Amino acid sequence: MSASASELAVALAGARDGSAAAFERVYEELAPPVASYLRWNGVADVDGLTNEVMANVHRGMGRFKGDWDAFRSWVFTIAHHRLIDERRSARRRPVVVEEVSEAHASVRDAEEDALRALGDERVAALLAVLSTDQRDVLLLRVVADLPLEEVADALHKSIGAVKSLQHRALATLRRHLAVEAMEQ
Amino acid sequence: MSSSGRIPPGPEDDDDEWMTKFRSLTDPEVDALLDVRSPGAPVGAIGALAAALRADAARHGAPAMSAELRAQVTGSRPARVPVRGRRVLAGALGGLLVGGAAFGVAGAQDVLPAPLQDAAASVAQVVGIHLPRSSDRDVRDQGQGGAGGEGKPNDDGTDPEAPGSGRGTGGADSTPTTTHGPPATTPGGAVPADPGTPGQPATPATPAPGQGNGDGRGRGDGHGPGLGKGQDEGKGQDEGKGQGTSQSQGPAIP
Repeated sequence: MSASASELAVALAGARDGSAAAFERVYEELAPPVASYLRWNGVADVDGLTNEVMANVHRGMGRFKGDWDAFRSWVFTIAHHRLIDERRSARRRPVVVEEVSEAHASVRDAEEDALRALGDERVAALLAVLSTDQRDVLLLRVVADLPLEEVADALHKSIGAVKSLQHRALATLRRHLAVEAMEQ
Repeated sequence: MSSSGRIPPGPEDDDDEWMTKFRSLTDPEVDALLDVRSPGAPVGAIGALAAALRADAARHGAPAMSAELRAQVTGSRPARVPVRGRRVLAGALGGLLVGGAAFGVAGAQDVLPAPLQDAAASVAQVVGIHLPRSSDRDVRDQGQGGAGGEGKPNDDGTDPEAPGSGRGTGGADSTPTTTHGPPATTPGGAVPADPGTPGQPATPATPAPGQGNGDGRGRGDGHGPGLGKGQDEGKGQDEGKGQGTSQSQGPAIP
């Protein structure tokens, strides 16, 4: 949390009272991790879906009751629900292959993505070895910075189930890293 | 994602060695493993992954707020009706629709109370639909008593053909009629009206007193003396039904 708890509490109270400036402060604080959570889950239009999530948050501000931590958990619950919707619609949506010339693609790969995406590719490769449930738990724990109880609420699972998923995710990652180290 | 708490087994993720290690960790230890910001936390491969995941949000920053969201936040876009409000509104509209339809059907069947019937007729008239008014009902009821013809007295003195007990002779007739025969002098509950000139079609929807084969259709209570032989006092309810034309000869009495 980059801002102080009191500052965020003030922003939350102002946003609930309808202050546009206060909501923009809330947006600045929560939109980056929401976008990151969606991005690591493979969402194509991260910016668009993040805006939809925050629009839902804005519409529901009047009904929300609780402190900043509860609010953060609530926002990620909304984000997770929208992610599920996106996964469903993506399964129904035909895959559109963008026609990019081979020359252009090679230039892009070489000049634009090489350095920038190296870290992302590595992280994405590690996340890819996890099951969907394990990835959801890990990202909500790390990116959303939610405690176990709130991850369980967001995923509609028991705390024990979330703990088990977390252990399995860590074990899977650790074993995968060990195998990679042996191969090198 | 399944919403149940059951953990789907992964194909390779149940590594006994690592699962045993991680299951042996306490919750704070796992938290420390995932949160490399904690002082003294071990920065292993898992910690490095967690750090990379966290750094992503800071690196990309907040996406630009869309124009739609900005308009929503600044209030320049009308707020949407909450879901509950929309449901109530839809329910109210549905109820109104069903009620209006029921009101219209009842009005068409002329079974509403007089004030409501008149209101329904007025509303329907606006949209070009004709519904009967309560005044039409009065005329119709009166006309259905019918005028008695020559009745045969029964043993009890009542005449089966007497007005009020007969069946639809000379009742309200919605079809053109011609008159013949001597006119009845007592309409027997029917409203005297223009029966038409002899041999000419009478005005529609007027009773044709006198002899004739009535085509009257409608309902009504006819009370009153008939003109049958003998003095009959017809009592009862007359339901004149039938279609056709009645014919009579002779002058008509307006």
